[in-house]
Formats: sequence, structure tokens, C-alpha cells
Amino acid sequence: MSIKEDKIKYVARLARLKLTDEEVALFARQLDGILGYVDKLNERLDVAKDAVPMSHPHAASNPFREDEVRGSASSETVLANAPQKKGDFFKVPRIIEE
Amino acid sequence: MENLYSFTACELLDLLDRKSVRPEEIIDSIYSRSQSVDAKIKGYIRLDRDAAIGRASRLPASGRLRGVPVAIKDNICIEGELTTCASRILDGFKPPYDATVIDKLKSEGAVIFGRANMDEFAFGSSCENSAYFPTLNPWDVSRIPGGSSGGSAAVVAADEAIVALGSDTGGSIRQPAALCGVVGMKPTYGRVSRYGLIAFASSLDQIGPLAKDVRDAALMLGVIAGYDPKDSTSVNVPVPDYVSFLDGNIKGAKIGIPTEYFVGGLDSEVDSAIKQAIEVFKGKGARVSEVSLPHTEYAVSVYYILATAEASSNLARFDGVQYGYRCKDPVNVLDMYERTRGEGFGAEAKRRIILGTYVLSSGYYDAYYLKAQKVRRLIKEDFEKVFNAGFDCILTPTSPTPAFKLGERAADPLSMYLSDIFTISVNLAGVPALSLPCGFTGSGLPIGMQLIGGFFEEGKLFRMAHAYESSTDWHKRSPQL
Repeated sequence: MSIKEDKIKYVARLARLKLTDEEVALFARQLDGILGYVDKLNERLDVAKDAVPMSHPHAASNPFREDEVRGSASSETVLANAPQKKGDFFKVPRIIEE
Repeated sequence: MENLYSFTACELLDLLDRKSVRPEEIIDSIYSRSQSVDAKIKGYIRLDRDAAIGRASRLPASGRLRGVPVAIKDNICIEGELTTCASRILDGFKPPYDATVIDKLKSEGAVIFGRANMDEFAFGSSCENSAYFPTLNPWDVSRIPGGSSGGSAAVVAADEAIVALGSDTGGSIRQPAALCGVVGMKPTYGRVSRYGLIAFASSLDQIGPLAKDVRDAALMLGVIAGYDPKDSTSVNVPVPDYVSFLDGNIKGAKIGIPTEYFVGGLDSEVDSAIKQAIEVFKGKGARVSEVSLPHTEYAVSVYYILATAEASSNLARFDGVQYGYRCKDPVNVLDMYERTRGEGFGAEAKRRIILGTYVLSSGYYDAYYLKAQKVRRLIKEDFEKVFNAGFDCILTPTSPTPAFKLGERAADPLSMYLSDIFTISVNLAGVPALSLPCGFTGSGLPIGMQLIGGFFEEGKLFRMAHAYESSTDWHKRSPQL
């Protein structure tokens, strides 16, 4: 197994994503090609040295609103899409081991 | 009245206004059109005639779109109606609320009609990544319609819809509009509320219209645009009457042609169609000169770092707990997360989650994510320099090639990513752009041109596009189906 496949498995674990062995091999190969292309950015390291990182197209300012009480969806509405529910709760497998 | 499906929204509104036609007749007309052609195109994931007729019979007394059916991309939430992003992981999901754009359409009397197919979670440029089936190009069903709003573009082109909504993160409205021969507009970031648009990359996504002509697109944008307190990234600037910009007067308008967009890889028929379009603009009194967008070569790299980083974060919410698909019999909660996501997401979604998680992971953040954010700034400044120099718009091809064959690029993600090379910079900068038809290849495939404007200058783009459209008849051609 190549180091790249190890890395794919590590990242998949971080992303909570189960991959088959075939997917791991395929993504390792494809990611290699994509990152090779993306590394164009690093070829001219000075190009953006002094630029201010941009996370959003408009000047960032925090949009405040009044802290007013408003209606919200009922628990029945919120639970309507639940794959599994019990009473007023989403039901999931045990999280804390016995 | 015959063939109502072939009319534009503005033409139908005129007929409705004069009581020459009823909203239900329009629904029946496009429904029967869809019944006869959609088996070939596969543009719709879901189409419910009775629901649409029901809506058409309960319209508000007045409204700017009263009686006009609108097809909706499957990533825009409609209360109580399946909304799946063409993904298995949202199997069975019925949103508990309407997206703001749906709310606005309904209150202006539009009739929600059919859910258009798309690449899963808007990841793709061909509609081949839909978990349902690929949509096909109405001009040649061996070819892709573009993506990710491929269903929206195809149903408008095939006269199965009057107008449609799509979303555009890196070209997902404009590229399929170009490849299907219709008009598509990506508004300024923040012009249209993203509330209820299932997020792909939150700093890039915008909802916009796909239409048969510029007037319909202008009308639609006027309805869906505007500040929304529910989307803190929507911007509080007044919405002009976009239709009032369609005055045909572009004498003295300054058009910039970016030299970086006319390089290797540009199809020769696309190149010559764009050159002819430039002559049309000159003939109408526009002043055309070359401009430079020097950081264009980095756009695809920057985009696939930032967009996948944002996507991997946005898609973390699909974990099998609150909605959608959950794997069978998980042994513990980690198993539930991993298998739900492994079974629920398609290949391209997984690829992007892996890439996005990788560029955000410890040790790679500075080299990829931070650097990409810096270059994004330079790309935005490229556009600002051109518009500050007095240019009204920038003209480019929308896509470097016409529609490609089904399967041609599916095995090579990088070649697929490069099909967005002319549309991606616009989303990174946040400026508006539209695509409109500007010719056909020798084999009859549509060619699109892109007009890019300054922030909140959608009106200018509609004026330019309408002036061109009035001098040509590309938009009047229809595919033989």
C-alpha cells in the first residue's frame, strides 16, 4: 500500500466516510492528479504573499438583529424527517459505551 | 390555444392578462409536452401534474408571475415536497419550510412545476453525477446538457418548462445554459437569498434563473432578488426593475475582452462565434477593447481548494441522524456515521469530501486553504480594476467547448473540472454574469457567450444581452425532438 492510500484512509476517517478498498485506490490516484494541478499555486509562491486572505465577496461585518422572541417549528415538524425517533427525540445508537 | 409550452413567460403573462388563457391550460400544455419528450431528455426527477394543477387553481389575485410555471432545481427547499439534491443521502427528505426564493415565487403567483435533475449536491459539469439518471442534451441526446443545473437548462431548452431556477457555485447555471442554448444568470453574491438552498460552498453559491430569453431572465431575477434577514450574507441594496434596462441602447458602452480567456483549449467554432458576437456589439455602437485578468490561470486551483473545503464542511450535517438516509443496523454511532455517508454519497461527493477535508487538515491548511484565500483576493481585484477603469462588462466564451459526449470526461475528474475554466473566477470574485446563446457549431450544438458585470450591475448585463439578442435569432431556434 502506498503512503497516498494511507492518507486517503486517514482523511476518510476524519470525514467519517466509509470507503471501499477500490475507492481508496481510485481516489489516491485521482487526488494525486488534482493536487498536481492545484500545486500550480505553489509554483509562484510570491504571487500572493502580501494579499489579505478573502473568505467572502463582501466586506465582512457582523449582521446584528434584534433579540426578539419568534415562533419556531414544532418538534413534530422537526422530527418528521427523522430516520428513527422515540417520543420527542431523534433515536441514535448508544454513544457512551457501557 | 396551441403549443403554449413554446411561449416565453412574458408572452404568457400577456395572454393571461387579456384572459385569453387560463393558468391550468398552461400547466396542461407543458405537462403534455413533457410527457412526449422527457423520456428522451430526462430533465425532471419529479413531475406531478395534479399538484401543479391544484396550485394553478389557487393563485393569489395578482402577482408579477401569476400563472407562470417554474421548474425548480432539486437543491432548493419546497415545504412538504421531496428535495434530495439528486442524492441518495437525502432520500425521502421533505423540507419543513420553503426557501425564500420559493416563498417569493409563490407570492408573485408562479406555479411550482417539476423538480429538475442536477449533479448530486451540484458537484459536476455534466449532470452525470445525479443519483437518479443523467439528463441528456436536447440538441443531441448522445451529449451531456452541462451541469450542475443540467436538468433546469435542458427542460427550458426542450420547451418542457417556461423558466427554471438553478444554482451556480462555479458555473452551474451559465455552463448548462450555454450548452443547451438558453439564457442563464448568476447574480452578484448576496443579491438573492440562499435561505433554503442546500449549501454546497456557502461563499460562492447563488440561485439564479434559466430562461428562453433575456426578458424572462430579467423578470425572474426581479422577483427572486432582495435582502433577506434569514440569510445574513444577502445584501441590503434596492432591487431595480431589471426589465426597464431592456432599452436597446448600448451606444458607447465599454466592453472588455480578457486576453487570458482566448488561449489554448478554446474550441475554434466557439472562438469564431465569440468574435462574430463582438462585431455585433461594435455594430450597435459599443466600444470594445482588450483587458487583462492576470490571475485567471489560478482560478480553477483556487476554486477546487475553497469549494471542496466549504463542501466538506457543509456536508458534515448529513450523518443519518435528523433526516435522509441511514444505514441498516449500525453497531455504534461511528459505524452509523461512516456507513451512512459511505452508502449515501455518490463518487463525486466522496471525492470532494476527501479533497476538502485534506486541504483543511493539519499541516496542509497554510499550503492550500490559506494560499487559495489569498489568491482569491487577487482574482477579485483583477475584476475590480477592469470595472473601475469604466468598463460596463467583460465578454468571454461561457464554456471552452460545446456539449461533450456522455461519459467522455466522467472517468477523469480534472478534465471535468477544467470545463468550468471560464465561469469559476466570477464566483470567486462574487460579481454577476450571464450566459446567452451566440451561435451554433456546424453540427448544430449551441454556443454561449458570457457577459460579466461589476457588483450589483445585473441591469447593465441584461441591457447588453438584450441588445445583442434583439439583433440575432439564436434564441429563437428550438431543438428537433
